[in-house]
Amino acid sequence: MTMLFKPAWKPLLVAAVCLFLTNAGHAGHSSVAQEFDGASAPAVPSSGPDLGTTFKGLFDRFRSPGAADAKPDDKGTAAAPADKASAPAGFNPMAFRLVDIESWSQTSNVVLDPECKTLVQPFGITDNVASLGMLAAKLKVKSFVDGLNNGNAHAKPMQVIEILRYAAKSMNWLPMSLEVRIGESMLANEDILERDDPKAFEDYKRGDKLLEDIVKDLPQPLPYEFQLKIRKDAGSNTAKSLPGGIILADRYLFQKGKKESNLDYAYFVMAHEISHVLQRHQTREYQARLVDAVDSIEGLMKLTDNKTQITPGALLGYSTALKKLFVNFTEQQELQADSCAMQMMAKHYPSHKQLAAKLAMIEKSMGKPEQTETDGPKSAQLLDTLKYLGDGVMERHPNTVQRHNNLKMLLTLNLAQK
Amino acid sequence: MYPFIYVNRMAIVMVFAALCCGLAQAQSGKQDCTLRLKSASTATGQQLAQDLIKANPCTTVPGLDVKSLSSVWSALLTSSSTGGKRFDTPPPAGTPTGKVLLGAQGLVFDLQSVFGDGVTQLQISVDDVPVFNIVNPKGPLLTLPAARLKPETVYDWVLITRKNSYKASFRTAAPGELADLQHQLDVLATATLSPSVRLLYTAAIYDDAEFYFARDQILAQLRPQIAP
Repeated sequence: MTMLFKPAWKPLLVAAVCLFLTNAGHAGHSSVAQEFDGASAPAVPSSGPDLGTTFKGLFDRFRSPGAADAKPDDKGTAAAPADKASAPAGFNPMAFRLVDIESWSQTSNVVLDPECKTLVQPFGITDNVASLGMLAAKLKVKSFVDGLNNGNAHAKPMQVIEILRYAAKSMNWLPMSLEVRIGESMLANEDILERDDPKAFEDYKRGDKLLEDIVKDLPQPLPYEFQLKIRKDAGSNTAKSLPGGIILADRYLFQKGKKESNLDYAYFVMAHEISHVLQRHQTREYQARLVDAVDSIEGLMKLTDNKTQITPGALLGYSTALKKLFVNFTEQQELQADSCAMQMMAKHYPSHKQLAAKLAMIEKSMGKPEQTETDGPKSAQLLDTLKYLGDGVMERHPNTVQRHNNLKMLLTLNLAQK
Repeated sequence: MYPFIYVNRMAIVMVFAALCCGLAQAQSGKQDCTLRLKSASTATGQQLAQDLIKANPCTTVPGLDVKSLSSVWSALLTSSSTGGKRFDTPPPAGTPTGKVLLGAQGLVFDLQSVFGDGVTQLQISVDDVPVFNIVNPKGPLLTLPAARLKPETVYDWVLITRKNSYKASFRTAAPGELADLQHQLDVLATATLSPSVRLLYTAAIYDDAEFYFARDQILAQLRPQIAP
């Protein structure tokens, strides 16, 4: 396991260097804020022309998405006018490259974009450098403003290491090549029907068509090559995604002779799974475990440092809170994937009325709203807490009430945007 | 004259080549009877693999796809798939999904894995019309009587516990689907095999016929034998 994640820290080091350079290159806090303000081009700081050029180059790259990535033999890029014309109305390619981080968290177990305003998360540290710069600037401003509020105008700006910690929690930094390898290694443990199996031929044909329909509406070029695998297990009418773009689907989803409502449901399920990949949810979970594990140890050390405060209750409370945070995180990811699937459907069905009708059918297929108990120890009793910690449940899906409410809220937002 | 001989020679070469190709194709069309098995991590698992390899799958159950046997072996070694993000909570182990076989008693919902969470309801419907509704069951094993289940019918079910809700469906087999299956099971009954290898063959027959729920029940029975 250690071997697997070792190379992943390299991008963080790159980010650290970038941040260090950012810090070194800017004289004051307020000027930094200006330079990274929204979508305006960063000014070249007088004290660091090379750095300015670097960021300007990066900015230009983000301003013309696709141009920097285009291969010499590409017939066109996303920046070409012809391609722009083919993009869906209201589609802003900038939004899929540069993420303005509006909020950040002490832990990485937080979904920062619950409504899925950004369908595709930035990939790789090179794409994230500009976002990282914005985050760095904002955090500096925040610390400066906090200092003013506390009556200390000379408050120290955040240190590189602190910013790096925030960045590690708020951004995707596990390299995609590693993600693909993890997905492939997971696939080896799956019970799937091979493509050359005559029993699965028709299912693959229908599934591939559906996948193609969803992917064609997404902002291009996509960083993943999605591949569909059909699971032997049938009857759960569901699907799952593995890191790197592998979608495993229950064959019943694509069964011949399905009613229209079922096909819409299949579309939604597949779009939900594609969203997990594009939001890099599994990868974020790995990051969460890695980064938050560091915090957990630090937190535990703090608890144990002050011997007067050590009580079994305090330790258990701390562990319970961490676990609850993680379980809730997986729920939030599921709701976000629903939101993304809904956004994809909104592109597919531009009419609000039609979209509402389709969603009503999907909600019916998802099942009646059932309120289930929330997670956590049943009482403050030591036994219940230990049982909760040890029951192995680290992932949970939101209950149907939460899912229905989320979709309703998104539908209302969709109507408001019309 | 020369061109004519040349053409004739060419024709002979082509006919010969075609014959060779045909022979090669016929050979490749033959069923591959070699079992390729993933290595097991435990000594009991390795022993079972050796026992399995000893029997020739092509003669033990003629017509059985050897790939099914290797696939069943791989499934046996992987107790559950890990990782990945699912659309929904997967149905609990022991609950019927996909194509199912009906025993003399009927179909059993084994809810042991979730019974501790407090099962409040199991509702089974056909085309949105409820046909079974079991509320607050007393025990974890619920049997749906065979007499009340129609062949070749899709049954959708929803299971609600205090902690979670699960939904899935199962389809009862058509009578025609059972003839080949029964024939292969009858042939297997005549073979001389150890009990564990026999179970693996039974699981492979189910896998080949797409009765994955029945297959998984056998694998669940075998897993403790190869556990460390």
